[in-house]
Amino acid sequence: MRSAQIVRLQQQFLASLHDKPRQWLLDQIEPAPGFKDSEEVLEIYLHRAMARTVEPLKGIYQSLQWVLGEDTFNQFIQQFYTDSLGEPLNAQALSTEFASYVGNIGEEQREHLTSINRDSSKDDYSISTMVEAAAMLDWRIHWVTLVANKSKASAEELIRNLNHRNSIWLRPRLNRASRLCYSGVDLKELHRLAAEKTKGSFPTKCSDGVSTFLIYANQNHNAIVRPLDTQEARLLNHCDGTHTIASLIHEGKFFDQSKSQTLKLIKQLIDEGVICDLEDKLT
Amino acid sequence: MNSSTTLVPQRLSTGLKRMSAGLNLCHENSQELFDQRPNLDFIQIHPEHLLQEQGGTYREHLDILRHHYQVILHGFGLSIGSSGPLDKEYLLLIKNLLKEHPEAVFSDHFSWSSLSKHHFHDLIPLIQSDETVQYMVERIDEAQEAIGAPILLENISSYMRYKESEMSEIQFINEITKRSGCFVLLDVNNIWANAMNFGENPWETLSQINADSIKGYHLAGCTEEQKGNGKVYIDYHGEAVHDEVWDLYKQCLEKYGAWPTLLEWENNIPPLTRTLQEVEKISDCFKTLQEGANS
Repeated sequence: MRSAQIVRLQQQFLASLHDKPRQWLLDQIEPAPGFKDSEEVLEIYLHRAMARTVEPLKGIYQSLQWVLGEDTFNQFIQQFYTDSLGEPLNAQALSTEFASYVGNIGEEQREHLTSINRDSSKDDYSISTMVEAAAMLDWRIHWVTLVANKSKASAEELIRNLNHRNSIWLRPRLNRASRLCYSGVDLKELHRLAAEKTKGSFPTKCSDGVSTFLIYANQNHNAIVRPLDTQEARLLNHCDGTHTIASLIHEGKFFDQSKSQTLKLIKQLIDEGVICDLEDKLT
Repeated sequence: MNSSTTLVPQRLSTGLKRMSAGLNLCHENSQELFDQRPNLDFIQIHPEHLLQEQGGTYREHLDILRHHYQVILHGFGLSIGSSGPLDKEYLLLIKNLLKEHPEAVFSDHFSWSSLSKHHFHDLIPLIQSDETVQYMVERIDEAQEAIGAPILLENISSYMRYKESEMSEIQFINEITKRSGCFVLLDVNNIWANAMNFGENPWETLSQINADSIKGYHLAGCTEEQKGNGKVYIDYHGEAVHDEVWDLYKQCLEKYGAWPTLLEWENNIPPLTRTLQEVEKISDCFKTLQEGANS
């Protein structure tokens, strides 16, 4: 049986959340004597709903916070909260919703977000591009650190398996949360500058125009942002647990990579924690 | 369904000793707990974290620690008093966790915290009326049937009451436990803070509770804040348990007996050695109670 009393109370709370407190609710509340009125006590609950919803975003979107500056970032997430259709409990769902929000607000609005004093003549990309790159970088980093699990085998064990004579039938795989992405902004530099909270210096555009980056979490769950050269990008693009080492060697030969060069690259990527598994069955 | 015909077993099954002292596991203390593995009777885990965190450092700690220690399960997202539907996926998780941890019990709160996909991230009080009691009994029945065990509900801290309420907080709790077969996780600090906030006598409030319903205790530190018309105590779990709350807890042990007791410290967390001192105080209270019983 639904309770009309409960439905009304909760709808009044919900209506007050994104607007002014409803008069019915204010009349219904008897505040503890320490509060001056109903509005003051209701504000505790309404403010917590907003603050605790957006609080995880401050921890997740550190690069974006660095790009925008703290005050602008705080105003921006409050704007996001006002425009948001729901208050997800899960920080991961919230971060995805926020990344989507940043991508959808439009280039013009993104350009107006920043109040940063910077020498725009030195930058060859727009603020809008930087805002979007930072938001996506943060979202990816959060994703890889939260979703990543430690591989079952250590790097030493994987190398032993790699040295086995039947290893060509094994199928290298990245940690499932790892992501290859393309960007015109040097994401590794952006990640470093934001982590160090460097002032007055923005990352440069990638020298090749657009570069491939790998974002992954190492065995200690630390996020690593790493630019990839052409050979690495090609190899890792196929390290999804379906391609055997034999097929990777075969493919490498079309790009002037010898068997030993491909195996050396695989070994190096195992050592770095990029390749975390050598599967012997299709998964 | 009428609550009196419920299929849920009315006995609380737990492998924990009644005189058990535990500590909450949270993001802020997981590394220290993981590294040090101190001697604790149990840890409290939040099932929500198993749904929300698929991997990462905290999840790794949680998975290892929950198999190292005995656990109790304490939720904050069930929103049992909400007019929205209960989360079936969440209840299935609880059911599976209870199978995995036969020593555990599951608890949540006498409150509501969400409506559909809107989460208030807080425990909001309910109107204490017969209509709400009836609604809560039906919801508790549904939850208990889904997880296959009785649940414990914790009394919350509150800074306001509603004009439509027809009964006191304790009358409300007694009525729900009597009609639903659920039990009470008694948060002694919340009783004390509410009494201070409304200028009441905490022991007078506590002494009205149905003694048979209590199956566990929570202890935490609330924070004094200055508001527009004076001071209020806010339940931040950000400091040591107040002396007055320890006194009240000792009175509870005398009157209601020992039950597994948890020390909650989730904000402004000091080094683990400090929180363990607070847990040790719980064990000391048990010893005193035991000595009194033996003398």
